[in-house]
Amino acid sequence: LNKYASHTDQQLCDLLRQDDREAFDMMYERHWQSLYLSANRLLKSRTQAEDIVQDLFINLWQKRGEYQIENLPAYLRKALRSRVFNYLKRDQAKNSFYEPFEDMQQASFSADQLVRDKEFLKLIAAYVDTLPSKRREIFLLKYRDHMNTSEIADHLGVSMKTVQNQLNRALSGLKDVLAALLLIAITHHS
Amino acid sequence: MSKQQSRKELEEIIKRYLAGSASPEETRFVESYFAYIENKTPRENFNSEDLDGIKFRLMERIQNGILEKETELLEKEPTPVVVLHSNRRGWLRIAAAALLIGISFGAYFMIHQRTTNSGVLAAQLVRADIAPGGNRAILTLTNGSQIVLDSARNGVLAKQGNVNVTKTDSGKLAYNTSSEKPIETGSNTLTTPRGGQYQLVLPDGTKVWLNAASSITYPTAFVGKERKVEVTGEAYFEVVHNAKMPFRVKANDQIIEDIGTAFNVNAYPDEKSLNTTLVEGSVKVIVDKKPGDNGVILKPGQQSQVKGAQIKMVQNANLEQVLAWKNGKMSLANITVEQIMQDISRWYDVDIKYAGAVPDQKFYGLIDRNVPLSTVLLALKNYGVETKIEGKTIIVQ
Repeated sequence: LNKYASHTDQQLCDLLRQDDREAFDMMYERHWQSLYLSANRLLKSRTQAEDIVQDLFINLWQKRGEYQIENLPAYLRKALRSRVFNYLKRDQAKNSFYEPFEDMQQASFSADQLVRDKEFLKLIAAYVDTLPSKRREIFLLKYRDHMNTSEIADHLGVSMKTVQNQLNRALSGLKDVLAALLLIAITHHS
Repeated sequence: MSKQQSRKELEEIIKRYLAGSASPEETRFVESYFAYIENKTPRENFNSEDLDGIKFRLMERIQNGILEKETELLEKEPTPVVVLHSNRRGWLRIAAAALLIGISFGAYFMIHQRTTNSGVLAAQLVRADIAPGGNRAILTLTNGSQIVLDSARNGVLAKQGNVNVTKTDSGKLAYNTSSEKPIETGSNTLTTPRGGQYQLVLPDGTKVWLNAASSITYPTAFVGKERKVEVTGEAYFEVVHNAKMPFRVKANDQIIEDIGTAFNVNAYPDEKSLNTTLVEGSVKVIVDKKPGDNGVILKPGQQSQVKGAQIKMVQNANLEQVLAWKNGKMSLANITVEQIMQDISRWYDVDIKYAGAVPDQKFYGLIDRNVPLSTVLLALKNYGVETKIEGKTIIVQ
């Protein structure tokens, strides 16, 4: 049994900076599995998941003196996503990763689906939150306040063309009923 | 928006998130996006055995990867740039100085590697390095004459009866005959010194790898009811199966009977037990000292450890480790300082002395066997084991 079994992640991080290999072993012991399973689900490949976890831990040891890790699980999760993302970008077979985002942007989902898949609804709401404030405002004026394009243009003092452009970029093709569902989610979490 | 554009937009947000320049909203979105994809994907069924196997294999890969990177760095820069003092944390000061004068993080690591592994010790090592072992052995023929194989030319070395002994390549010896009825003229012995290894193809086609400080004695031709050979030290066998003429290996007081097989036998006198590890097929291990012993049958992956008349079975032997020597490696995984030093002693033809108590230390990974001794000692130093070379003796501090 590792002598650091009852140490906190924070204590392990401090020991790692002092070249403590057993602290490193303990980090592996504690975190390898969730990282591996997560990579395996995102990439649907055991080989790639293994390669990623291997690379991640080798890197963790090699860079042990470079920076102070504040939150080990968060650090590892982000390091994992970064590597997963490199595989996703390269591999055409990983298109399914992008599909929910495409569906979201092209509004190719039904009200029924949103009602069933609450997580997807929340995801869209979280996306609307990321929109630049002007685009988000136009979006809300249209779907929440039911203004038409010329009313929005008047309200904000911009051209109708600007309003049209912004709406086209923010979830173009969204039907009113979908927008209504979405607004519930947005107002619910913000 | 087209699929291409969508894809690009998502990638841009993720890139900002990874670079740490995303807004809090974007960060929240990317995190939920990854979580969403993960949760949507059906869970693959791993049983706990699967996971244990993956965990073990991955840890080995990580350990090897780290060791490889560390030795790479060592080889790039064998001589120390700055020698300040020999304590283990000395590099911290050098690194701090390097940062002050604006050397990048990359250089910081180079320096770290160089200096942890350097100091006074490395300077000594560079001067007094010792080459690794190689293909060296001595062949003793039936008539007692001896041939030093490392200097012998390739080709037929001797003719015994109607059997030719041929050096086929550097480090390889083969017995063959053109006759249907080979004549046995007695036995030959192939002996490796410390720092030597050799490969042998016996008259029946069976292949034998002989590790350092080992020997094998065998007849020049196999006739009769059995094929019997005797080994000391360590050898790996790939036996050509012949049910009518079983292959038997005698090592100390143990007999291994082949039932069609590849196996390793480690019978070094300074090891704790006589270990037989089965890679393929099936063998029977019989302890000669036990009267009427019927032996135990090994399955692939199992190892028998014989000590006196006791047999202990190990279910999942680490084959990579057992066979490391045969594959040109030296395994450091999960072995003690004493065991590593025994290996080093046999392969680099050096003696080992301990200045104090034997350090209690765990190691990782595999090292190539063809590196000079200094590289191996530097790798050990990385784990805090200090050594000094004096002539042909290594002193463990």
